[in-house]
Amino acid sequence: MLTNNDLITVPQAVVLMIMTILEIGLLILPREVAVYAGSDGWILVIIGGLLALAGSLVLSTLIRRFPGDTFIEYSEKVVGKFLSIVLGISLVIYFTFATAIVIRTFAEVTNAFMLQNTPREFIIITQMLLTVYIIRHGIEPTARIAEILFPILIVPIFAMYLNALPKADFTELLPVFNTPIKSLAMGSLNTMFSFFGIEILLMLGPYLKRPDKIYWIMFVSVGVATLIYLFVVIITFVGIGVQNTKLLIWPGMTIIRMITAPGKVFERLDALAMALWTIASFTSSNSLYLTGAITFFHITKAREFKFFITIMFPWIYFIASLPPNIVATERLIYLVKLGSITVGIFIPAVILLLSIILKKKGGTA
Amino acid sequence: MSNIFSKLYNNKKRELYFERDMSPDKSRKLKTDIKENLRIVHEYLSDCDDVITRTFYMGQGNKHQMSLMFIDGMVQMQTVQDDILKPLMLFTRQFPLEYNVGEKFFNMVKEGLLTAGDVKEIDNFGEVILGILSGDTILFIDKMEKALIISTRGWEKRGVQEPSTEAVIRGPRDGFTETYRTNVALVRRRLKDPNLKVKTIKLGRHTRTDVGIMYIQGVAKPSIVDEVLKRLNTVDISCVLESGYIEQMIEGDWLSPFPQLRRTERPDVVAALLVEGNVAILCDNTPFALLAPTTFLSLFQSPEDYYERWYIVSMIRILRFIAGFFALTFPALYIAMTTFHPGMLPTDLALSIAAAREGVPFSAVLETLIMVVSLEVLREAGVRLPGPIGQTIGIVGGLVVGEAAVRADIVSPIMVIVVAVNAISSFAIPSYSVAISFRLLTFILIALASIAGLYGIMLGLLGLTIHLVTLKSFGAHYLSPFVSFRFSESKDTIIRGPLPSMEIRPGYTRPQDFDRINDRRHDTIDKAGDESADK
Repeated sequence: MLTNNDLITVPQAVVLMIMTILEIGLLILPREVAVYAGSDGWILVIIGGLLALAGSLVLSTLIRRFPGDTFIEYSEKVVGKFLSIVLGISLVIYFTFATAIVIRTFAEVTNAFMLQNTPREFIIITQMLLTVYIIRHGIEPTARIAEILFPILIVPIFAMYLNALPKADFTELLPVFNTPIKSLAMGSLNTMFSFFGIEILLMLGPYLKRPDKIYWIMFVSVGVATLIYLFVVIITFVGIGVQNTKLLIWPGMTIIRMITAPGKVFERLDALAMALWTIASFTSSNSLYLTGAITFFHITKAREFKFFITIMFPWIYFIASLPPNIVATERLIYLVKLGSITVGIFIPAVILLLSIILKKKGGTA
Repeated sequence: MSNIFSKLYNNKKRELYFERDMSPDKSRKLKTDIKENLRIVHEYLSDCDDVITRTFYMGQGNKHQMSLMFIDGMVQMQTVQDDILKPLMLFTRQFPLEYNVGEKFFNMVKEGLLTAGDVKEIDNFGEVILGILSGDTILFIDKMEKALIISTRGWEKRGVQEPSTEAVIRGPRDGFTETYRTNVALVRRRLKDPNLKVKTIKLGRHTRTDVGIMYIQGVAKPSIVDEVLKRLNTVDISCVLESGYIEQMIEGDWLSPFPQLRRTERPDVVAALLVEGNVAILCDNTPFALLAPTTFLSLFQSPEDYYERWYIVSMIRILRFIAGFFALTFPALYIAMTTFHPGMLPTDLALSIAAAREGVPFSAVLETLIMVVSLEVLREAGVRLPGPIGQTIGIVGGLVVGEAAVRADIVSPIMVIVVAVNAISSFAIPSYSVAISFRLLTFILIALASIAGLYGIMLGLLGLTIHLVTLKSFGAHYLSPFVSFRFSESKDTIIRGPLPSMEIRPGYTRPQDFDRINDRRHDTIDKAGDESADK
């Protein structure tokens, strides 16, 4: 296994999950829900959160069914060695892409809002090096980092967005339930994509100190993430208006640009928001990158996992610098979100069904 | 075959280790003949003019030959004369003694005649030599294969004074001195607990310095005590002149800019932390004790924090953390804000900064570096110079040169404010070792900020967080109460809760005994029938 104390506690797991889920969605979710449902967007967040919760139930049930086993191990029991390795490799590819788009989006936003003239490659490379620095220490330190950074991220986010309230126009939320069911469904599905990151649990199952608390971990982390997303979406809607939200690339960032801090300490808060966004993106890429390396490590059953971090490094860099512009990046993000549904919910669901049909079970550790 | 070779190699290595071992060589036993003994000791201590040998006869008839050996200046002459020479030479003349060299006579000298406090028997040259060199007096007796070691240590030493680096407004004024035994006594006086253990070892091949570890049995985790002892025993160093040598030899990560042992000059701090389950390392010849394990948070604490009332302390602690943040980042933030993100500042401020910088020929980065470096030089100069001149340096450097530099448009007045705030903030951190590493990290952050602005600062801070999160001090997480957080520990973190509410000891030392305070006030209050005071 990794190191001696590679088990993560329940609060650590919760925080790690929340910090993984919270990233790109913070900036682009308001636009997406506005495009799908207009002023009903916040309902989409709730439904999307519930859908993500349902999806996570599949993951949790799998982990409860095979306590202490890695995904590769129990998929081998259910679908055979060859298919389990194929699944594992597809997971590695997925996590490589996921890490790459998190880092790429970060570089995009940084270029747009903070460092206009800095080469994108510099931002990508430095952010990746920072990520490698922590994940080389293993899973428990990564969770610890998330634990430390969680309050540093959450408290200022709330404090910052609350500054938008004095100018808020709550009538923007008003035509409620005005959206056709079809676009509501499509939108909810799309919102659910914003919760990508929950599939890291697929790999982290064997490293939980209390696998029996998995449902609780799931419920709290997805619930808190939903609440934070809901908060951000509502504030963005009432702050800059639904119609404007549709037109902005990163409405979550734009609204912060409009806020003036009380007391005029800062003219604009966007630099502060960028600092927080660095944290959000950093923790997210940490867990995705680490999970990818750990999947690799489980497939090969090697003695240590640090080697795989090195293997993945050039690929992540390559994919992160692949899209030529923001449009292509958005397309890649969409692709990764589809992949998230496939590997995060669809495949585990199939394996869970098969394991129930074939009556395979793990030990009762 | 290779097995045999490796065994051979191992044996050889072990022999080497014993040769360099700091414990005295006990294999060479004392001889019967006193002349032979003296000759061997003089062989060891040849060309040591400070060693004094006093040969005399006891009793009537000059039959019992004896010799005293000690080092001039390291013994209390009063004790040697009054408690050793006087009883042996003068008093015995008045009574006839039977000439009966042997165990009985030896015991009579040891138990009946010597009036010194601490007398022990030894039978080998290793301990004889070490005893003489440590300031003890050795008494050789003719026809005996044993000698007596009499504790007469006493030399010119500094008295107990107020610690200069950790001054407090409220709290005891005594600080450690350079004498190990005095320091141990200062701690023992505060903890009259039989479970307070003191283990002394000698470190340093040439210095043979007394190094003691103190801990409270039943509170300190045995694995931490063992770890400290194990690490101390691996130290093979030629000299230990200050506890800093030990600190650097036993800390886990010597690449870290942060101290992994807390050092203090104050016996009350040592006593308080021993009760919390720490292990203290006291070293001879230095007034600084080391405490392990330590946490990042404890380096932001002052002993006063527990003596003053909690509202005040909590406010001061929050101020200290703000000061710490500014000590680390203020010049870097200035560079980032003026060079990369002027839009973030309020327009008026941005304009006034720009106006102040108008005549300055240098870039903000260079300007900052000039000021920060010259401030470091001033600080260093102020430490080196004797007190009164040190203050002059502060006035000349800070006021005169600073003012002149601003007038000459070399630096902007805003820059002077930035650097001054940064320096003052760093002096508000109670632990000098953390303050100094913060000042070091400031330079790294300045470099990062000049490359990538606020993103660079974030990179630096996140990297620092990663380092702190992975750093451990003797098995305890360096960021202790914040990782694997427990609510009950939050009362002694950024704020300090009311003393009666801090019912358990902090968890980073993983103490065996968690109880700190049993809040008994409610018992009496309930009896008095005062319900409003409850909770």
